[in-house]
Order: sequence, then structure tokens, then C-alpha cells
Amino acid sequence: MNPKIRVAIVEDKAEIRNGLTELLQGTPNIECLLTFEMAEDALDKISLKNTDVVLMDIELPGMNGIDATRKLKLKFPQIQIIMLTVFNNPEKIFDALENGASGYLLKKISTPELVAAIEDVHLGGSPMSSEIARKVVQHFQKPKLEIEPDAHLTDREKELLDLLSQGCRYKEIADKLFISTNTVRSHIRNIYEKLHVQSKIEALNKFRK
Amino acid sequence: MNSPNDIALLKRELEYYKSQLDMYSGEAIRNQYNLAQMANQLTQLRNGFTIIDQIQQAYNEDSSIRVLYENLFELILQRLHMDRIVVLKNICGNTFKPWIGKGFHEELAQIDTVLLPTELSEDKSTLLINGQKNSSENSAGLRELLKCPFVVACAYASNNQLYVMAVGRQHERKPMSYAAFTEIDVFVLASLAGIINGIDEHITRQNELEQERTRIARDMHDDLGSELSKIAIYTELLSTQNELDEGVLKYVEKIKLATNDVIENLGNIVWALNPENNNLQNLMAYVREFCAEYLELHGIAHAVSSDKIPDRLVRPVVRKNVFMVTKEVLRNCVKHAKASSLHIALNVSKTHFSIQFTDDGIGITNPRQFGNGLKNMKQRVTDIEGTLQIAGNSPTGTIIAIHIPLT
Repeated sequence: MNPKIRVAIVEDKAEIRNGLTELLQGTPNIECLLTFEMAEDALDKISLKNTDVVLMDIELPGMNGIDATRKLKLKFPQIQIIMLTVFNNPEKIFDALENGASGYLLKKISTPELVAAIEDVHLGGSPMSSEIARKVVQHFQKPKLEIEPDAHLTDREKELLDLLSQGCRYKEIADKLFISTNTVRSHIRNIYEKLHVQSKIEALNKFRK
Repeated sequence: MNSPNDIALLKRELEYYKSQLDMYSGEAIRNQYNLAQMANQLTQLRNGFTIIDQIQQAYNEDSSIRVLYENLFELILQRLHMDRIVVLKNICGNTFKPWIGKGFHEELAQIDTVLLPTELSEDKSTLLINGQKNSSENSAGLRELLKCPFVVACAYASNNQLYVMAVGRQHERKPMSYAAFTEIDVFVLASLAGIINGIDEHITRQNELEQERTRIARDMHDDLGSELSKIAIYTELLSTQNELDEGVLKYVEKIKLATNDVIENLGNIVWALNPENNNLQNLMAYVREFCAEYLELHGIAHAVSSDKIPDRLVRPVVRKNVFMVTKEVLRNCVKHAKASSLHIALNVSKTHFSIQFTDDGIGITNPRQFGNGLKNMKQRVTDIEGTLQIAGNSPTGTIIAIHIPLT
């Protein structure tokens, strides 16, 4: 049997934090070992030894979830981070994705969805909505010089993003491009990675200036 | 073709005739002058129409309002043979603040407010400066303000809002004719000031609306959202308890569904209120995504065919209503139609866009069942000046199409 996926939760509202913990504890493949009210504490305690996946709230007292994501991801690139948000808030979610988050979850979700999302991200899959796809496209539409060679999108990736931003589902895209949904997923994972590369380089450039 | 030489000759000839006229007949010159004045009036009328056209255009495209201002000022300056224009905006009582303008000078920016003895005329249509009706002679204060030798000032009043416009002539150039433009031009300027007032109010209202929308969206997100999340999580926890009996579980499930519905509806409203989602591409993608998610959840096959969606603005109310109608259609399709597949067609023309839903269900067997939902759908479509067509009698399913104008 595979070891359980170890999940940490960073969420300031006690009811939601405790509720999520309890929900996850009731599932067979996931265990929830650490919970934090503040991002600062989470950064202190989370390490590869105790965590595979982090559920991170966006609005937090003190350091916000997006900054925490960036810092955590720099320290432990292997840890996957899922943003928790009430509604589909594309601006903030995009910020988080750019800073290294691998996905996002709406807080209304049911247990099976919650588990599926955590397992997906743990296995390296990432969800992408049309709004996020549109933002990714805009992001890569900068003049060529500003984009790192490592972060250039391939034609296939552009095609995929275009379909996503029109509201197509993974299945539809797979059918249209004659590939499997798994291939769609891996393309999307690559796009996320390029986004991270790009934002890391940008951060470094800013720092150098 | 006339060579420059020819033109020079013609000019000289013209000068000659002019001097002859001067010599022989003062009367003829006066007549000529009157004719010129009439021509001037005609041109102004025409310009007025151009401006109205431009305003209509500007109202349709928010971004062109700035262009409109520029054109407006350019026109006024051209018309009056002047170099500078400043709009004085009434801030409270009789205090005015220099506002945007062309050739706006640094020295003017330093003057915070201008105090002038001003009052409204009895019919409340005109601002009196020094007790006089906008005559340039009496606008000494404005002239001083603009530091130019010549000033035309005029005003427009509506809804207790006063606007004064002052046009200054910077260079010492003798006016073509003093009388020729005080009366008419002040009238034209007054109308223009009124138009500017209108646009300004429109923009202010738009901005206020936008701010209010953002505020509501944020509040909903922050307060309602997190409370609802708590309910959702508690219910989820409750439903995982083993010792619940069937009856209780049924209600727990109902609460769960209702809570998720409310969260989703709020999410839709937040989406529709977000100014970033103001175009047709976003709306169509959102509709498409929602349909896919909803139908997958209920095990109904779906296919989408779509035109290339252009980048066109769509008002928040249109966004909201189109989306609500889509939801209602899908809900009916799942609840009543017993369909196994749904086809969605998104079409766009220059003036309209349409969404057509075709299912393979049993059609509308009991129109009453559809009652309220149908009425709501019709209302939502009518509210945005669209049309709704339903063909539910066909044995092969239901076709529902909405056709919405692009404004």
C-alpha cells in the first residue's frame, strides 16, 4: 500500500481549519498532520519530512497565502501547494499559480472532490479554468525579449491554452487535438512550470535592479 | 492645374477687387460681412451635429470619451481662433476650480479656486457673471485668471450643477469681429458646456457604479463566502457521521445541496460584477465551462459548436442574465426533459449573439411545470432587449434559443 498523502492546512478561520482536518482524517489515503493559523508558523514548521501537499488560504492575517507560497516553494520545490478560496477569484489564483501553487480548490467542495484534488496535485496534475488560461496567455504575450528562453510556450501549448480559454474541457481538448486527456494534463503541468520559471527569473531580475 | 505662379496672380487680383470694394462701397462690405457671418453660423450648426455624432459614438465606446474631449476643444479653439481653453468646474456655491483644458498652463494649475461674483439667471439656464449674461466684456475676473486679452465665458446649469467655460486668446491678435462671435459662440459654448457636463456626470456615475459593484463583490466574497464555507464544511462533516438515520441524512443532503447552490450563485454574481469579465469572450467561455461541468455532473453528454467569438463589450446585467438563463435551461434539461445529450451552439453576428440549446429529451410535456422558470427566463431576456424562442413540442426534444443584441 502506498503511504498516505501528508497534508498541511494553513487557514485562519478555526471552523474551516478544523472542519477540513476532520474531513481529511476520515479518508483512507490522506492524513492531516499539521494545521496553522498563520503563514509565518507554517513556514517555520513545514518541511519535506512532514508534508507532501499544503492547502493554503489566500487571505491570511500577517503574511498572505501568495507570499507564503512563494517562500515555501523556494525552500521545498517538491511540496505541492493548493490554494483555498471561496469563489473562483482568477486574479489572486493566477498570482498564486505564478508564485508556485499547483492548483486551487473552492471551499464549497465535497469530500470526494477534495480528496480527488489532493490526489491529482500529488500525482502532478493541475487544473486550469478558462479564466486562468486567459491570464496565462496574456502573461506570455509579452515582447519576446522579456521571456526567458526556457519559458517560451510551444505551439501545442498555445493551441491548448487557446481552447482552454474558450471554455473547453480537458476531454474536448483531447478529442480536438487527437491526444489523451493525460497528455493534456502533462501539457498543462509544463505550462505551469514555465510560468514558475518565468516568475522566478523576473523576481531575480527585479532583485538585481 | 494652377501653378504657384497662377495662384499668386489670382491672389493679387483678389486683393485688387477688395481694395476697389473698400473704396467704392461701405455697403457692399457690410453685406459681404453679413454673408460671412451667416456662413459662420451654418458651419457652427454643422459642427454641432458632428459633436452630437461623436458623443453618440463615445457613449457606445467608453474609451473614446477622451478623444471626444480633445476633438471638442479642438473645434472650439478653431472656431474661435483661440489658443487656450479652460473649463471651470463648480465645486461648491460660487467657487470654481480650473479643470481640464487644452493649452492648460502651469500657472493655472496653481490657482486652486476662482472666486467670482456669480449667480443663476431666473430661468436657471445661465450663469450670470457680475450680474451680466456671460458677455466677455464682463468677464474681467476670468480674463485676469487666464491672463489673456480676450475671454469668452459661458455657463450651463442642470441639476444644481454649474459649469463655466472660459476660452482665452493668448496672442495679441485682433478678433475677426467682436460681435460676430460673442452671441452665437456663447450660445454654442453653452451647449457644449452642457454636453461636457452630461458626459462628466455619465462618467462619474459609471465610476461610482463600478466602485459600488467592486465593493459588493468584495463584501460578498469576504463575509458571506466564508460563513457559507463553514456551513458547507459542517454539513459535509455531519453527512459523514455513521450513526445518522436515513431521515436525518436526507435533510443533511438537502442542506448540503442548498448551501453549495447558494455558494455557486454568489460565485456567479461575483463573476458578473467583476469589471474584468466585461467581454463576450469571457461570457461565452464561462457559459461553456459551466455547461460542461454541470452536464458532466448529471451524466448528460454534451457537444458545443461555436463561432469565433469577437472581443466585444458586454454589460454586467447582460452577463448576469445570460448566465442565469443558461442555468435555468440546464436545470430544466436535467430535471424535466430526461435528456441524454445536449447540444449548445454559440453564434455571433455583428449586432447580436445567440445561444441555442438542443436536447434529445421528451420535450415540454407539461408547460406548467416550466411555469415560473419560463416566466423568469423570459423576463431576464426581455430585460436585456433580447428574444427567447422555445420549441418544446417536437418529439425529439426541446430547442431553446436566446438572441441578445450587442450594444
